Amino acid sequence: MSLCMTPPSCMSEPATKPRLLELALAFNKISLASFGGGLSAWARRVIVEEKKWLDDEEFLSALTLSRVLPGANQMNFAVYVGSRFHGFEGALAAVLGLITIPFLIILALAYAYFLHSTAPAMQDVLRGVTAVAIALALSVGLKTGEKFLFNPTALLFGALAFAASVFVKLPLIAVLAILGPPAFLVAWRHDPGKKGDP
Amino acid sequence: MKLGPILSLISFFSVLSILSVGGSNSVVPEMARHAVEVEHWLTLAQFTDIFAISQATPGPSNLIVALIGFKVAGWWGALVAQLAMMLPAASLMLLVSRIWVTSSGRPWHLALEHGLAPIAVGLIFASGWTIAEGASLSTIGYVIAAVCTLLFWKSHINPIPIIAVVGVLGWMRLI
Repeated sequence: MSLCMTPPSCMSEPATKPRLLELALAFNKISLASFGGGLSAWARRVIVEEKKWLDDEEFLSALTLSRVLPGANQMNFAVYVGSRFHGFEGALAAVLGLITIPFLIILALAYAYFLHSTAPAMQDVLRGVTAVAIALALSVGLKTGEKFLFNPTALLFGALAFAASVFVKLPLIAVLAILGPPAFLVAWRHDPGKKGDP
Repeated sequence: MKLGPILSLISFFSVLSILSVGGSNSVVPEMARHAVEVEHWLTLAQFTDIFAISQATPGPSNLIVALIGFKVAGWWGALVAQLAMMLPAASLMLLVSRIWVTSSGRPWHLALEHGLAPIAVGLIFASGWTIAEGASLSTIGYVIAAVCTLLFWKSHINPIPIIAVVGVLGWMRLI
């Protein structure tokens, strides 16, 4: 990337740039797999582990952007990854891959519900699936967080973010507004040019 | 295709799109208020049903909008409502993504990325915790969740067959 001044700390470029069709297929897979919750898990599994299009750090920052900006998180994440490699066309391909099949499914369900008044009994199935969705989210937390285990500052910020969200029940935007600036300053003072711990 | 209902779908959902900070589920209460009480597009019972349907469908969390659009103006209504809900937020995300990617390597970009990473991890744990709190699983359900957490963390096992099995267990009301 032309703006990089310190090569080791730049966003690492994947070996091959994904083609538009590959972007669409990858996001189709993410969207079909992640029902019942668990966007972060499937997004990381497909984009970081399988395709190696993003590294963990860029994945986490893209995920945070996707969650803090308005719009469905999955959609925003698709826009980020698509536009990262192919600008507007990439974003379009990723979003179309994400939405097309679920949209067709929802049309069929809309037809069944409003015109034949049959509500599919999906609640029970969903409860079982939820157990796995919980595990998927927690395992991604462990995978992306295990490198912070011996980093007290990172552990502190992670724990505070968790507590603010779960126990104080602050909305995401408030958590980031409160914890973001001090975390930024600590990382800035630590060494703005070096990759690694904050 | 009637133009009036289509236009009110567009005007409502395109505004809601920009207001949906933190994901589309954050604007579901406003959606219910507007669709049920203000516009009388559907009844509260129907809204509750379609919310459950949209949650159980794979895909992004804003698909409930297509169901409302379908009720109001048929196939075109579904398409128009879905597009209105997607385009404004996606355009903003496209703009911010561009800025973020082109600033790669700048000191402020790195400090933001490094500083926010542990916070993002804490929030991922929080999302797992929040799903668990709202799920009201049986003890077996929580044991399955714990075992699967370790499995997904330490191995590269494919979760899809596991999802299929627990889906059937849930359907048999065993979880």
